[in-house]
Amino acid sequence: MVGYSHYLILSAVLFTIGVFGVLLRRNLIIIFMSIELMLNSVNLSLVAISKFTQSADGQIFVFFVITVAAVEAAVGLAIIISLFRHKQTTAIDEINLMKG
Amino acid sequence: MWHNIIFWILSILCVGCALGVVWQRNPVVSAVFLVGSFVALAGLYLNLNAPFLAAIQIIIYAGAIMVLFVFVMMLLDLHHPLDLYFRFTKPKLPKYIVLGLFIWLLCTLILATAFPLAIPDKAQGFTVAQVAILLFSKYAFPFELTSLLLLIALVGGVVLAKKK
Amino acid sequence: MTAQIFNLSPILILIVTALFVLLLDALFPRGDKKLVFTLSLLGLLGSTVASFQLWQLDGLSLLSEAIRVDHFSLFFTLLSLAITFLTFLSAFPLMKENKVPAGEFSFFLLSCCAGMSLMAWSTDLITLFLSLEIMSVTAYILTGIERERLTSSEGALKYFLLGAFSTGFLLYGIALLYATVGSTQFSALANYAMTSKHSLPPLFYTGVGLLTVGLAFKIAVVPFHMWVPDVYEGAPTPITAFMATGIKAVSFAAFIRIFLIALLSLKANWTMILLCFAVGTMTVGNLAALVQTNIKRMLAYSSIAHAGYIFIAVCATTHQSFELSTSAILFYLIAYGLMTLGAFAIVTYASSLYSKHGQEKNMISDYAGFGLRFPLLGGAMIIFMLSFIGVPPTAGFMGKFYLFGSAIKSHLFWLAMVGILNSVISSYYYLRILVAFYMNKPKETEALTPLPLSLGVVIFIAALGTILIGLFPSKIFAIILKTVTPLL
Repeated sequence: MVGYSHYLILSAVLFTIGVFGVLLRRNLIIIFMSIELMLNSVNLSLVAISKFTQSADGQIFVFFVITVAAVEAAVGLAIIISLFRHKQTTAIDEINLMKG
Repeated sequence: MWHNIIFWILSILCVGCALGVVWQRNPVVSAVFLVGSFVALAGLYLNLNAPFLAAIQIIIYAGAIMVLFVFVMMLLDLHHPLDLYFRFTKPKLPKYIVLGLFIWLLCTLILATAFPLAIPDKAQGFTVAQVAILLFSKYAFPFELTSLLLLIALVGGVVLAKKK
Repeated sequence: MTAQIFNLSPILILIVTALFVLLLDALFPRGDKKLVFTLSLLGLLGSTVASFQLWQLDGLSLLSEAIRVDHFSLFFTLLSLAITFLTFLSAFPLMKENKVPAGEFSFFLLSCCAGMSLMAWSTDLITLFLSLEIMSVTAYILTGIERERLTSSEGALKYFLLGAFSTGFLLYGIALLYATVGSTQFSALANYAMTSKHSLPPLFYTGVGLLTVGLAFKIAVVPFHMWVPDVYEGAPTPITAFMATGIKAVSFAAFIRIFLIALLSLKANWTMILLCFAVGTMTVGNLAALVQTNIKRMLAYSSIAHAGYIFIAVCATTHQSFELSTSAILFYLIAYGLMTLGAFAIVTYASSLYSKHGQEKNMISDYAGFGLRFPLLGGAMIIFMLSFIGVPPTAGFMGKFYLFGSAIKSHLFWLAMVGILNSVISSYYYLRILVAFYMNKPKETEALTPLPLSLGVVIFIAALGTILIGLFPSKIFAIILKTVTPLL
């Protein structure tokens, strides 16, 4: 019988895949898509919680998460564009995200 | 019964597509996989009696956000910086081990927590009206905050991305 | 409803001013930047007056417990307003030289201030999440707003990617807490932690842990600090100061509201992690700062170290010592804010002096003889550096005195010792800046641009504040004590 924890585990698996997409990949766009995947896994668990606890608050939260995802997509892609405008004219080393 | 079958099909599809996003070399193919994963998630929302969210998921995520992604990929001249920034680095084994541990840990923690497993058969979803009433009464203030957030994103996108 | 709107007035005034400034700049793009600047300052002033009006309230939960107006939230509102005010003043030269678009810049800064205030007001995880996003998204944009400079865009990208990543953790933590508690209100969290103290499900702890990661990233606690040096170096210098003071301060506010107020009964369970945070953050920040040659990177690491000092008081917080420890945190945030804003204002002027072709010059060696050339600025820098180290009679000394004192009060003698040792280490690199300022010969003298008045005002206020708070700390401490006492 598929229950509450199945959905939460599926969400945990998706979240982890997203986390490791961010950590493993070097491609900016793919890192960014992995972050979207993480947010989506949160949405799945919120919808499941809303169903199994019979409260609509979880669904409302999903709206806010989707809005924030859209906002981050817009701003993030704008930042990438503004960076690439520089890159086309200057040759510098690639961005190292984890350099302290 | 159908609920179970649909869950398993969609969850396998969803995880498969998610892995595709992470593993793919080409960002455009990754984007297609991501859309696939979003669609599978929308199906799961339907399965959880949340039809409105399923529709929103398709319209906003697959329709708007992913189009934005693909649009930016087109806009950036990928030919010449491609080899510089879009390099596929071989992931290292320890990271995979940590990945496995993380999933294992989360699953055990979820299983170790006792949830009320009852209700799912009787449980109904919420109608759009119920969700809307809650959104505009209890959550009216956070809702207003999202409008400020969207305005910030709008102005920010223009400021950062416009030509000098 | 009207009463509720009145209670929200500090936030509303900020948002309305932000919109108005944006429209004004859009309608008159060739207009005088001074008008935008003045209007923004007036908005900040109005919001300050409104906050003082609300001060007589005794604490009031609003909008179905989404936010709470009490002295604690008003304290952080006033702190954010003051920091934003000083940031506007130090950013005015940038606006005047058209390095940043004035209207949009003011819009983002004012919105960010609104988001920051709301962080301290929110008593619900959903409101907290949204205000945190308002604050962070504007911070990403402000980091990258100087588009002529490559480092600015790079910093913005790095900040954005890692920030969005940490948002994912924060959200997942909120979702797990919601799954176990069934509500997102802090009061519900507190109730849950109190009533089922001995049988809390593991998932609850996971949620708390993920939430900690999300907030620790904003505070820049080691090991979630990787983004700080690059972002602080890349951002326009006034914005760097803004992030180092304002964003850090309100992240501490949210941290206090969740972990030290709502979940205080659980604190014994994770003291070990907090101790690791405190010791790690102080030590890593100070050791890394030792080897920096760029002054902005050095101050970035020093800001990490100062967050570590604040964590000493976080570790020391218990039911008995709640008032003292929390007041120590709030006091230190004021002191740290003043000296950081002042130091960065001097860096802003100095780097504008030596910059050529749009590239910032922030190497410490570039600053050779700066103090000899500008005796007053040099004197101010001495005050800030001594205050960073914690030498009396500066604000930094009193701040550290209260922080370490709270640790001793909770019998964490060794932690206080680690803090003092770290201060000793830190004196090396702070003094290195002063050595460059005074001991080295100035390089070739060129035509100098005079110090812009607005920057001078910032430096003056910061220096005066640092000294005055150092000399008369008890008055301020008494007010802060009154602010935090009703919280528990």
